Amino acid sequence: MRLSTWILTAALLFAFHSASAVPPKTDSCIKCHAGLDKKNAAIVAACEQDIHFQRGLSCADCHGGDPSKPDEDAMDPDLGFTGTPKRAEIPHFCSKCHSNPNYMRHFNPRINVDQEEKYATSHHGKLLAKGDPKVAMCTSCHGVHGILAVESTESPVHKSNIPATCNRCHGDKSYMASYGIPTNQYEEFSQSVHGVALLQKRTKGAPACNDCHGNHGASPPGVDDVAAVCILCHSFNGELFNKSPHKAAFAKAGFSQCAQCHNHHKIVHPTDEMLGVGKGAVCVECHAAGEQGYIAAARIKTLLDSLKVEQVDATSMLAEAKALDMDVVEGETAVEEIRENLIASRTAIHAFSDEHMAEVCQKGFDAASRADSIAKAAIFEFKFRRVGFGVATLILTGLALLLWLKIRQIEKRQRAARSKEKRN
Amino acid sequence: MNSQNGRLYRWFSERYGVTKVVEFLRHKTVPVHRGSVWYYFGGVSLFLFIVQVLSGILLLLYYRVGAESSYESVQYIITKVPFGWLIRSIHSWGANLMVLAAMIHMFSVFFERAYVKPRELTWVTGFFLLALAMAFGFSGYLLPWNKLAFFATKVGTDIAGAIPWAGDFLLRLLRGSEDVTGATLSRFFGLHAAILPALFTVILAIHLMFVQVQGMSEPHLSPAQKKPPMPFFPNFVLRDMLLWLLVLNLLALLAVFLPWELGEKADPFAAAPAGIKPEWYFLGAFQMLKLLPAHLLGIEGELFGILGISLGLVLWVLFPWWDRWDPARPRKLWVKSVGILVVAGFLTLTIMGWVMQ
Repeated sequence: MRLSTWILTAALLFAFHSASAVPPKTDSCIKCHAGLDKKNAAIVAACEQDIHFQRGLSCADCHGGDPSKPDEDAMDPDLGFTGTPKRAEIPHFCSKCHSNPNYMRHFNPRINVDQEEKYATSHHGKLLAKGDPKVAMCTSCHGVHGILAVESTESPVHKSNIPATCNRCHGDKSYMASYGIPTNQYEEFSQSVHGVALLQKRTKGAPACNDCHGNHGASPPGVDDVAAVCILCHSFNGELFNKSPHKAAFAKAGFSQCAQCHNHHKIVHPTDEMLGVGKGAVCVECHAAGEQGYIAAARIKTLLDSLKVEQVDATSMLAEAKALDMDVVEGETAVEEIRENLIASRTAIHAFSDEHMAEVCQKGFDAASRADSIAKAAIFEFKFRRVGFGVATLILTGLALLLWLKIRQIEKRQRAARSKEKRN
Repeated sequence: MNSQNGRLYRWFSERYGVTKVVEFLRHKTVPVHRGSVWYYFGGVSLFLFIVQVLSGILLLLYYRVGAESSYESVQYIITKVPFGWLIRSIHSWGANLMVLAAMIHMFSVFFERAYVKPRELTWVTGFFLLALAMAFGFSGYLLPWNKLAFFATKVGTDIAGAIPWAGDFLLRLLRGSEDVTGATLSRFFGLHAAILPALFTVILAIHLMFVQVQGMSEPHLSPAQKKPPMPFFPNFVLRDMLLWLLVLNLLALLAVFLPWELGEKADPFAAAPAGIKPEWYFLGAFQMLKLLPAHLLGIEGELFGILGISLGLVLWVLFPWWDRWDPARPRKLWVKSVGILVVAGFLTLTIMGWVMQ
């Protein structure tokens, strides 16, 4: 055996022996804290579920120190041990990793690393910077030990849990007393069309608090920014509003755009009764009788109501034709067009122009007129078919009768001829 | 016949020997007895075939075959084309009445034992005409490309696919692909509008020629029961026409009061609707296959059923060779029993198929 072979074999044996001789890695943080008291034991237990632990991090990765050292030697400040951060220090404490793209890339290349930056611009962040220790920071929403991935339905920052998480502080009257803001947001939101969709129907696309207020940069939208928030989902309505005369008028009056009519958190399903100048109409809250806006609001409501009446009439006329077993498929298409036009008309309201509304509704009126004509033609056709059948039956029966008489005549003649033949 | 002296008649007679045909018709008679009424069902079947040809030609003017156009064109026919609804409904109802009239005609011939020598081939050609009429129905059912027809054709062609050895080939031949697709529609249209009409016309001509050459079968009657025969022309022909007028009126009644529905367009990706049933004349066989156990005598129940039905049909078409004419035994109880058994079985299974989901 050559020397080089001897050396390689010896090196391999040494390496194998060294690997198998290393004792299993012990984490003195966990070892000690698990046995300290109930509170510490609970922290250690919670860490098992923690996303950081599951990705291979340990206590020392956040708190510093050397967990391979026994007992309190592990908590040596010279070994980088920082202990428990103060509340005001937490955003920076977390951002040591979360603001480091090179580090975070190893766990999730798409993860955002601007949380601390955004937080500093948020209402929470600004108050924290001013020394308010009560405001929310990272652990207020995400938890401390036992932090779960956002996608986990158990996480307090999972979409369906966000309203309740925000409500922990914002719904606490005594906690929020010093800020002078309402504490009924959750109550109102849960009754709103968005809240019902998110909390009761579990609709994934329904918005939670952060969809309007932002996540880490959370702040209340200003009166001029409400439409900018709503337009993210309600694009057609928002675009029409921005081009409408209300845009400038609301800005001048200091109204909060969409929320002026639809409310802030308690955004209930809008009804047609909100329109016009009747009872429950929001238009009359600003427009007095005789004003141009008042007249336009009344006309917009009349147009919408007329279209609904046309829809009912066309549908019932078509149902009558269908009940007669007539094929009115084109009429059904026209009724569907009316339904779609009603939706478009309810969107068109946000232009706050009776002329624009009339233009949009006209397509619905045309479809209603078409459906009505089709249904009437089908009902006429039904009657025509029966009358036609009656006439055809009369003709056929008459022909059959004539044939029968002809047969009788022929056979009578034949019988007479046969009798004559017999007599002869 | 006064027209015999006419110039036109003379013109034809001098060239084509029309006189022979006229003389034949003049002397042709139809037996008169208590079962004479059954003779008219042959004529009714023929009339309905003529109605089918004429209404089918009118439908062809607007029908456009294809998975993207068949349903739409039928919808156009029944909603836009003047009297298109009437033609389409008459075509659909006429198809069913034609199969019914042909069945009544076949069973009346069976019970009268009119198939015995020398009319064996008239029976055989008649049987094939009925089979072709049913094939017309099966192929035509798919042509509107609606949901029910799509799934009924799927089930129907699946049954054809279960036939041993030839099943796979037959399935692909009928469908034009693995599944019921636009290719199947094209094939069924070709079958319905070209191949079947050609075959049917040829066999019908042979069938009618046999009837004319051999005359109508007369049951064995005692001299006391015998009545003088009826001249074929004009007595029988005029009676035939009278009945045709009534059948035409019945067709109009059905078309107006029970218009044939178009239903929803076929969607190959949709779930099969509940209670798919074939046309009523296939319902008995379909129900029998459903009632059979999964395995019977060591083979699959469905296969057993298909083989059983096939064997039964072969025995049925060859019946003139099973039941030979014997002047000493003009009536045979076993023949009548077989007939009653077949009719009762067919009716029972059809009703069961209709009632049971």
